[in-house]
Amino acid sequence: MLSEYLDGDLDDFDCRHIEEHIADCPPCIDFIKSLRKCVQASHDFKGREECPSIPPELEGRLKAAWQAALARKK
Amino acid sequence: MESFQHRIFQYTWLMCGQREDAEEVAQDTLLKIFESFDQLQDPERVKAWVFRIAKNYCLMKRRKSVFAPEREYSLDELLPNPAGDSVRTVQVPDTAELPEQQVLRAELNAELERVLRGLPDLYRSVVLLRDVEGLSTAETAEVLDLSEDVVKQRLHRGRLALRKDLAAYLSPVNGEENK
Repeated sequence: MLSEYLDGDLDDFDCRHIEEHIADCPPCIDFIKSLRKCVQASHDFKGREECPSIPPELEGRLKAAWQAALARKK
Repeated sequence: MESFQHRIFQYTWLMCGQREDAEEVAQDTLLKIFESFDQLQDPERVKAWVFRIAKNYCLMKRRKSVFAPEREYSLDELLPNPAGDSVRTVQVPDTAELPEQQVLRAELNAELERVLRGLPDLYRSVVLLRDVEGLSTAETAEVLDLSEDVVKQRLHRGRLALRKDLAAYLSPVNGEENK
């Protein structure tokens, strides 16, 4: 339920229930803060800078497939 | 196309584990997407459609390899130890970026990649789609052929596992405790 709380997916009743509990519970506050930071780190995750280049042969096939898809859409 | 390719490659790399496999799967995925683009019924669901294709190619690649059996985490393993988590503490402040904070952020990014790759597949697949790629719970459920309730449960356990492994980077800084 805590993840749903962080994602804003809980209804008012459940939100209040959690907030009433954590208001007097410093360990819970720290726990939720660290979980929120963890989720934010995943949102901000950049991954590897390097990305493999597409082999020229495949790039040609991709462009042809894309053009064909566009033509079919028209 | 490069940005699109980068997202797919990042996903396949974290799912496959090997660069060579990830490159092959990413290329297969791109080709499949482009060749079957006109089969996309609802443009609003393009992300789910793309990652469903990527996931299927990752699964096909995995079936050719040998993998350790997966097991589910229990919540007891993931929740804080009453005696305190026995980890070193690296405090990462949230304030504007200073050079040393940029270094810490890069360190967190590298550590997060390592931890993500070490997550059991059933959690990694959900965390990657929900938190890294930003798909909704419904989209993630659709891509992975799971119910939304299972997605929510695995997401929470995956996040708890990440939090546990990243605890050194997530500790509150001085003065933040009462915010």
